[in-house]
Formats: sequence, C-alpha cells, structure tokens
Amino acid sequence: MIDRYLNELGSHLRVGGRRRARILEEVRDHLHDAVADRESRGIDRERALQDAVSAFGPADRLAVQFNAQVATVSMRRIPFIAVTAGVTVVGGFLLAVTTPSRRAFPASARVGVQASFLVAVLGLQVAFVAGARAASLVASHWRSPAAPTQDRDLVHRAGAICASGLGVAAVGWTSAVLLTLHRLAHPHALGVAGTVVMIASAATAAVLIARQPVNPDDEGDASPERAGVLEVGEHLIGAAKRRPAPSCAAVATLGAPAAMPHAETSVIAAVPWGLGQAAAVVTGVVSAGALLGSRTGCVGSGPRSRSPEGNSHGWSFGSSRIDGGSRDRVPRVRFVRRSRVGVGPAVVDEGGNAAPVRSDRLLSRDARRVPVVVGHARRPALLLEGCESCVR
Amino acid sequence: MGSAQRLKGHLDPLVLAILEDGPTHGYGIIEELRRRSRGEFDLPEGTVYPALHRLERAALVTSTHEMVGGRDRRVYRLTRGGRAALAERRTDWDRFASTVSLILGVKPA
Repeated sequence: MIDRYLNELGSHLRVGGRRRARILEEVRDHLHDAVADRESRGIDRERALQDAVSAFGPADRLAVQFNAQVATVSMRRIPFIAVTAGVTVVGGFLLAVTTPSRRAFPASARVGVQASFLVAVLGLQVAFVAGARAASLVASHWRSPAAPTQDRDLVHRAGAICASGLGVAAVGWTSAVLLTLHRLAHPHALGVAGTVVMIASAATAAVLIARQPVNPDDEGDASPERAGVLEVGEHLIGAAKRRPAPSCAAVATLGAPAAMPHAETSVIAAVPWGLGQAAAVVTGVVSAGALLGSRTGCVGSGPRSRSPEGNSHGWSFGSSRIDGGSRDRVPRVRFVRRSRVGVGPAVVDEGGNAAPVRSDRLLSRDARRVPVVVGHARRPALLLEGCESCVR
Repeated sequence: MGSAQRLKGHLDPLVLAILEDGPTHGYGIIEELRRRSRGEFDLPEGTVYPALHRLERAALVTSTHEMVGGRDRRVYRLTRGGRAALAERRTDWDRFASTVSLILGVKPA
C-alpha cells in the first residue's frame, strides 16, 4: 500500500530527479514510522497501513505544493538566462563588428545593412522590455517560496518573448554582418565567430526558457511575502498602468537620445528615429501589453489593487471566500489564461456566469468604475476596479 | 473550517517553534504538533513536508541524515535565521492576537 501511494505521488510530481528521490524517501520513511507507531499501539498491520496512508493526505494535493515550489525556483532562473543571453548576443555583435569592414563597405549594401540594423534594434528593445518585465516580477516574488500560478506563467511568457526578441536581434545583426562580409575579399574570422555566438546564444536562451517548468495547475501562495525594495519595478508598472499615455511619452522621450546616434548627422535627422521609437513603444504596449501583463488594467501585476471603497479584505465569490490575506493586501490577479469563456480575463458573477472582458477598456478614464470579480471556474480571482463597459 | 485550512499561513512558524526545542524529523514534528495542540491541529501529515522544504529553501532550517531509533532519517534543525524569524513571528502574532481579542471582547489567554 505504501508503494502504491509512493507511485501515485511520483506520478503527480513534476520536480527534478534528486528532489523527487528525496521527497519519496522522506514520505516512505514517514509512512513506515507511522505504521510502526500504530502497530506498537496494537493496531493490526493492514489497518495501520490504511490509517497511515489516509492520515498522510491525498498524493495529488501534496504533489501540487512541491510542484509550485519547484516552478517558483525555475521562474527565478528565467531573468538570469535572459540577461546572460542578452549580454552574449551583444558581445557576439561587438565581436563581429571588429571586422575591418568599414573602409571596404560598399554603398550598394548600405540599405540592406541599415534595414538589418533596424530589425536588430527593434528586436533588442522588445527583448529588453520583456526581460525587464520578467525580472521585475521575479524580484517582487523573491521572498515567496511558491509564487502564484499566474505570475509564474507571466514570467515564463515574458522570458519567451525576450528570447524571441534576442533571436530577432541576432538574426538582424547577423544579416548586417554577413552582408558586409559578403563584400569583403577576405572575410574576417571574428565576424563569422560573432554571428555564430549571437545565433547560438539566442537559440540556447529560447530552449532553456522553454524547458523551465511552469506547472500551471499547481497553485502558489496567493498572499506572497512582500519583497520590499525589490518591488520597485512592480510599483513603476502600476504607475504606468494608471497613466499609460504620459508613461509612453516619457519612455519615448527617454529613448530619443538613444536614437540620436542612429541618425549619425544632426538632431533634426534624429527626429524620425525618436518618433519611430515612440511609435515602437506605443505599438509594443498596445500589441504585446496583454502578453506581458502590462495592460490588463487592474487585472495584472503591480502594486496591490484596491477596491473603490478601499476594502482590501476578502470578497465573496459564489460559495467561496477569497481572502485578501493579512498585511492589508489583496490577491493580485493577472491575465486569466484559461477562463471558461476563452483566453483572457473574464467577469464572473456570483452565479458563476462568466463574460469576457475587454481589457483595453479597463483603463478607460471616463468609464464608471465598479467592483467586479474576475476569474474562471477553477481559480476565481479578484478585480477590484473595473468598468461596466469593459464587459463585451 | 478544517484545521488544515485554518492553519494555512501559520504552519511555518509552528514548525519553527517545534524545531526550537531541538532537531527532529518530519514524523516527529507532526507528532509534536498534534501533542502540543492537544489533538486540535489534526492536519494531513504530508503537509509538513512542503513546509519543511519551503523553510529550508528560505535557509530557516537545515537538514541532515542522522540515525534516529536505529534508522536513517532526514533530520531538520533550526538555523540562526530561523530563530530570528521565529522571534519576529511571535511578536507579530502577539500583537495580532491581542488586537483581535480586544475587538472580539475576549480575554487573551
């Protein structure tokens, strides 16, 4: 009976080999102790086995708790993988441009090279934003032993976007370098090596991030430990969500000086680059915002959302009670991945009826704010500020 | 509400408090928890292990293999950080319990 329990537990565990062996060993020891204890009190072996296994609790529920812990550790690796890959891709590019190509640079290749550079820079910006998003969320959960499922999922998704952005940057830069090398009579070995480093780094990051387990079915801690100063990124994102237009303008303005060197001539020539940067930022927020959890209104990361009444305690949801936790906070809610009405956040009434939410309207300034509950059948969650018109 | 649900969020300091008296293994912790609560906290025994692993990741406890009762067991012991965390949780709990008791009109035990 103990072996059957261990087999069932093992089938539900999604943890690495050593951790799995340790868990199973501890559980086996515990069950043997429990059986021996019961037998010493005069209970027959069969009954002692049944009681010990029953008292230990369901194997699937136990596995869920271990899985959430392991997935949280994996989540923390993602920003480090992204940063390492980013540094290596940029390093590969710098290695490649040591090729003494400038003097031999043919005018006919200039358009292609510049277009490749543009693609690379855009890819790098996407990678930077996604990587920063992942890092910010991981930092905010630095003290949480088991981060909430939605946050793990979001970090994983941001990491994947970051790796994709790095891939685009690597391809763009590689194209630029190859277009240049192609025209040279004697291609420089460092140029070739740099392109290999770039492509290999981006590909490795993509594979490593994809292999990090998310364990989406395993709940984490709904009221994670506060991370103090490490939550600064989440606070900034919260501020950006409250004032999206000024935030976009600020980012575009800050990006303009970085764009100036691209113009290579004058400040006036840099204006199109600055406008391009601003357009890229706004387009990125509009198109990829939901994926990165940066545009889901109150449904999302950032500092704790508040109800209109300032209530931060439990809210009723059907027969369930959702506790806000101690320390004056409410559970954070993110993009709901598997709502019953499809992908995306949903408003769920007390009868359990769900309706999709237009997340782009959650930020509507003139909408009348009303408290709504967002979630899905299996994992109800909270949205403490919403608007009537956000319901499609 | 079951004791397991009621204990959610409080299990970690209880485990730390039990380990304060000396190193012990998982089964010993659950037995001691049951004894000290006079049978009130009869939670699924398996729940103590995720808590122990969580505390170990946070460096509040460490574990080693030791012979206990003639058998090789993984034994947990409190770290210095664990003692500090326990002291902090005691202070927090004392303040919280006093306040709730005050509001409920219950004399603190």
